[in-house]
Amino acid sequence: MTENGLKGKVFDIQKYSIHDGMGVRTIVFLKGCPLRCRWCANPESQLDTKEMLVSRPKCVSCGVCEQICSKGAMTVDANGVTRVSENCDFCGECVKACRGRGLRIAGDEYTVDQLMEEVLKDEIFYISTGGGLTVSGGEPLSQYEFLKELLNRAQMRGINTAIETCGVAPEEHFADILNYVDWLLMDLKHMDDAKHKEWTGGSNKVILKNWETAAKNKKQIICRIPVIPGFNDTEEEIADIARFVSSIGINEIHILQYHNLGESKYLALGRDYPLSGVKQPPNERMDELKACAEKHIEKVQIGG
Amino acid sequence: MEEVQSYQMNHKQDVTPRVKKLFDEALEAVPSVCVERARYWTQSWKETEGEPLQVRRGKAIAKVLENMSIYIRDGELIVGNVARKPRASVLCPEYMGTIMAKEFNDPEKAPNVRPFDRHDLDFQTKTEFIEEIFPYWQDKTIEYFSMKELSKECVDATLPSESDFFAAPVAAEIHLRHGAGHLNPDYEKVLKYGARAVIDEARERMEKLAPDEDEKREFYEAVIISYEAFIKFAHRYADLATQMAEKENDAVRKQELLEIAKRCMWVPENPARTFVEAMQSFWFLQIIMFGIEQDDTAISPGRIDQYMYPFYKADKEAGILTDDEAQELIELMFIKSAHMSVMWDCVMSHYHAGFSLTQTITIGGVDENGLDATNELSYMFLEAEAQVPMFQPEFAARIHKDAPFEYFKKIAEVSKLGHGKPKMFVDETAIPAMLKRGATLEEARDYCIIGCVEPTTSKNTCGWTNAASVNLAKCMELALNEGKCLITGEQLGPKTKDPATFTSMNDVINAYHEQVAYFTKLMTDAVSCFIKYHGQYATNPFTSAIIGGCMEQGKDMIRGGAKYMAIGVNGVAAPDVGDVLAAIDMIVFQQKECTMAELADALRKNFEGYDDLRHKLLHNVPKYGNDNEFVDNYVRKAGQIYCKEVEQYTGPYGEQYWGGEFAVSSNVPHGLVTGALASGRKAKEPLANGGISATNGSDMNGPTAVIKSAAKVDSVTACNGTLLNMRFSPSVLKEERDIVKFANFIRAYCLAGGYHIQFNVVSSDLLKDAQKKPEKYKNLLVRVAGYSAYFTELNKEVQDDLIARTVYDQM
Repeated sequence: MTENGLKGKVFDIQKYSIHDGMGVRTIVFLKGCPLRCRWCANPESQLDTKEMLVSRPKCVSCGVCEQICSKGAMTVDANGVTRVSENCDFCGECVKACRGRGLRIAGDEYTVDQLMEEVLKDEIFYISTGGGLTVSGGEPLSQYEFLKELLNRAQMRGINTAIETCGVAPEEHFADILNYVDWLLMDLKHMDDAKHKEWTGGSNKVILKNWETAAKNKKQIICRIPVIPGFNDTEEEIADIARFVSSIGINEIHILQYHNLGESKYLALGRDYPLSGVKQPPNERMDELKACAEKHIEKVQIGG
Repeated sequence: MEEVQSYQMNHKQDVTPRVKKLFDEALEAVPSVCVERARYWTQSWKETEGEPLQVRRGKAIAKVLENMSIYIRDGELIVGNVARKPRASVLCPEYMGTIMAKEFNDPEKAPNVRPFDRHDLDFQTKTEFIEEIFPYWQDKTIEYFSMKELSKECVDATLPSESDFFAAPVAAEIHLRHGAGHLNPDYEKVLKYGARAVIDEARERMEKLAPDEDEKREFYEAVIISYEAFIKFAHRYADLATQMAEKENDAVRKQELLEIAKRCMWVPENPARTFVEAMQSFWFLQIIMFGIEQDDTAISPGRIDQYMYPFYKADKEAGILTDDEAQELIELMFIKSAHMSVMWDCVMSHYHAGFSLTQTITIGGVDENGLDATNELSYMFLEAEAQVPMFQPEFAARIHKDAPFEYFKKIAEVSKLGHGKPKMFVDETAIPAMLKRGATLEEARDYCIIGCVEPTTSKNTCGWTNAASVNLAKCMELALNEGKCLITGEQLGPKTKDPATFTSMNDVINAYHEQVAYFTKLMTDAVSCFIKYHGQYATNPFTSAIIGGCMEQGKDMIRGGAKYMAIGVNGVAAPDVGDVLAAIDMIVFQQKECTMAELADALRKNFEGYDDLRHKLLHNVPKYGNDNEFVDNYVRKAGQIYCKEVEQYTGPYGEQYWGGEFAVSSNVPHGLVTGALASGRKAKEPLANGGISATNGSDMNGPTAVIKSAAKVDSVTACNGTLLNMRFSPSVLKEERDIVKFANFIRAYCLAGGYHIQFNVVSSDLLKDAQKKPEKYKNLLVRVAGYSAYFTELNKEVQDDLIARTVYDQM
């Protein structure tokens, strides 16, 4: 295989993933996303540049990072790290030296070869469970060239491929990528464009177009709806989505229960969490919304 | 007993009222000490002085069986007790007399006050032992003879309870103070042919002996005496059941008691004709072999789904047994097995914590032809585990790549409940291990599990499978300090070269090898000494009669009569050694961050003043458990060096020594005496648990990476068994589709080349503990869709939420 020097920006690789496609899978999370969903549980996925996460609970205020940094980027006081300045060039020395193991750089660069090496380590699990590679993020299509190369290589190697996408991508890129995807897991968060823009920072127009493209060209598609209180957690809003995807021939929806397990990462990035204080929808509510979607769609599942 | 956790709490028990009642009662039982076996054994021993040893053993068994208290609990269908009440430990004075005479009088070690595995001990029992039993045995125990023979050097190195050193790198006490368990006898022989047939066989063979073949004659005589007594013992239950029936008002129970009476008149003397007769015969055998004849644990029932199957099938076809009835009988047998107990001495109870009885049943796997052998009973045994979760029996499920999906799925469903059972064994690895041990292909395919993880041929091996453990991490420590203990400076091992002179990894590994070789030799010296005296003073005629080879040879299994004679000894903490070697290679030789001299000094000082270096060793080197070739190779090597040393030795009766890599609970007491390690571990911290599990917190890449690492350990060379513990969050097994994935994930282990795997599914209680002590739970897996999975990275509020939500949440 020739190496063309293409590198992908990755913020996580997660093995034994069982809720992101068929079987046991390895998820490669690409960094960078066109949207800014208020409920995002992976805030470190949004920017396509490297970022430093400082785990407040783990910081022991030892000051080793400040001492060891050759760019003077770290400031530490009695309460811990107070600032990571723009001088930081993500060399990673502080991460290695951190006594509390609380520093993390999100955003490594990988070549396709390097990623394939990682992905192939779990090949026997894919074989025995019908699993494979899922590329998620962030938005995988925001690194279209790299994504295409990676998926192509995986397929040529006999690894089943899936992507988790918000659907925001140039139509030509989206249509092309479908050729390298065995399973498409795609969001549809809201049918109302204004509300979609308000809560995600992006319009749903191109998403709906890409949905139609997907439905015409692929059979193995799962529509994912994150259920967010105040945004789309009503029967009407869920039914709207279900009706639309049903009309284009989709027959499987996964509704995902909002959770705030990403909140600590906002803190670690020095950001505010937009949905602070919002409670998870109760299980009974999820059951109700599932029943509502089932009026239009054959297979509705809570969770991935 | 397993900790309470969500699925277990929500599991609705679906059992008969009889089982529920007996199950609840069994959970109430509290361990105590029983004096009866000791009492009658001692009486017999006094009466038979001067007679041949083997015959004395047979007569002693008979004496106990004639006189011990027997009972039938209300509702029981399978009867037979080993001591005067459930969970009463039998104390056998010929093994434990010396140590217990001391400990009973020790204000800190007496069974009712000691820190581990406490036993109730009433005044009468205690007095009888101290005044009437222990004094008689003082110059007659295995310990008495062994301690007179062992050199001080050997004692100091291999017996932690007797060593003058702070640290004994070997723990070899088990057969100094306990009998010969740890085997799988041929239950089927008695089930199929009856005890009378064993007696007849012994007589026939005895008649063919030459006049001077005294030893063989004595063996057969002992067999006859003990099996005649065995039959009469069952008849005592028949009498008791008849008496109880006469007084019984409930018509149903009355009828049951009369049937029990008839059953105990028929079996074990005669071939079992029905499933219930087979179960009864089986249980009678178990209590003789584990508790009456001798007191060591892991008398393992073996492939019970295979040898019980013909009885089950015949009953079903004749229409005299329903599946519900069979299910109930299996559950009743499980409850009986949880009435058993063991008393270790105080030190051993630390190394084998938690009343580890390991009466291991084995289900599934391939047959002699290599084809899948699971049957209806395999599933019923799994169901019984789901329904009556107790600390016994131990439960091994053999798996192979072609096992039915439904079998993997059932295993996944039972694993979900969080009992830590069943434990899985991969035929693709175990069968080659058995071939390495010299088994025929058919025998290798028919293997079963002894105790924790030891593979054995069924029915014909006397394997002493857990005879000692060697602290490999201590050997590594000594290798970096010229054989001197880092904690006390005592010269424990050979004076290997000054680490400051090491110029390559070869030097490091050679020093480790030298230490391992030294302690392996002393270990085999000690164990061989104990076994020699077992052969002279404590043979096991009853068990030997149903261990293949003994009847043919007219020789007790202890004296080498079994077809396969082996001794299993285990290396503990290979993962720690591997992590050490990787750290030295990377930090000292590759990156040159410090010299060997500096490293050695840092270890001597337990890293005082070497904070930076310790941090690098701990965090900047790959650790075992993450599917990293570099360090995994070192773990494999560390274990192989040990196993190959072990294989050079044979025991007093021709036993072949084999190495394994598992720890029971000894990673804690071994850890307490181990100094700082170059992996970054500080002195006295626990070593890697299980055997080839990653050191707590080191496995950061999830379960697939752990499995891949463990599969690189050479479990064929380590043919006494290796052990891998894994922990999962209940959310991984929440939905039906998750169970399906988990089932196939277990199948992947067969493809991966591992040997053993066992799952702990964590509880909310554990998560709460993880909140308080996150450093212990860094690797705790909590699955979230689209979110990184480590619980300890979450802030407290979310952790609290998660703890409350774990049971119900779809994550």
